[in-house]
Amino acid sequence: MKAVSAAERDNGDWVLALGGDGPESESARRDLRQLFVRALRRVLASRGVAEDLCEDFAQDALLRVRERLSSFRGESRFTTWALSIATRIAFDELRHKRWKDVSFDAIVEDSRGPVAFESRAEASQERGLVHDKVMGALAEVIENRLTDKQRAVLSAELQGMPHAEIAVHLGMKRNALYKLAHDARRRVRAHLEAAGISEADVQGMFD
Amino acid sequence: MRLRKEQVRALLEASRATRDVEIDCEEYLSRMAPYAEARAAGLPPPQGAEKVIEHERLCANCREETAALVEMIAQAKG
Repeated sequence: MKAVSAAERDNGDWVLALGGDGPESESARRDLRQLFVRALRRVLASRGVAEDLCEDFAQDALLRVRERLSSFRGESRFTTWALSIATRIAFDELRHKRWKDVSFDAIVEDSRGPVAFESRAEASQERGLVHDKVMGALAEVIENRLTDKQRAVLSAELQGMPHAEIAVHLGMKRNALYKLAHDARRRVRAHLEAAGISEADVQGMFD
Repeated sequence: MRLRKEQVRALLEASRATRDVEIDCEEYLSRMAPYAEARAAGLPPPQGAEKVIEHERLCANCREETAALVEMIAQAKG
């Protein structure tokens, strides 16, 4: 195999080199790792992420990219595709660090009780009626049309907990969790529509 | 469940953006690169990116990752 520098490699060169063994593969792995570290450092430095952590992310990303090499469809530059994987790994880990000490039980404890809303600011009588109608429909669907698990997920989501963390706490795969959350959103949407609540009603509440 | 005003708003906006068929975060990841390249180049999204755009609107984590990837591409060019 011909020796190719990082800048000269096209998508096919990257896939071929990373999928193989030998000096060209080693060189491609080194180049890709360096590219990950440089790119992650630039973006994550402003978030206070230490350089050695970027090195760890790059190492994990290199392994993941090689595992997924056959799924690269050539719809972008190879390096962009590889960077998307490195980005997912880095941000997942950073979110995990941020949330690992937060009690999931405490986050979702509140989800079991009845729905209560912040008191609304003074508004015209007409807007007040729309507001009460929307809030009533929301309370009804959350309390009576969602499962306990859907309510827990909704509560955790609304408090900003990432799906990856919620999935771990519930012992679910991330895609199964997405489906559960999606089904919950669909129920909310369907209930609001059935209650005759329009987009304009919703929009008007926040204008 | 006690909901603050911004949580009610987030829930209503998510409900409005919900589609019967959506892609999840893994599928989004597999389609993020060409989408981010187009964004970084100031081009319209690639053909067939509707589901990607819909997911990005709904998922704060994927939105954050896409912004970072666009930044990486732009910085590599600059």
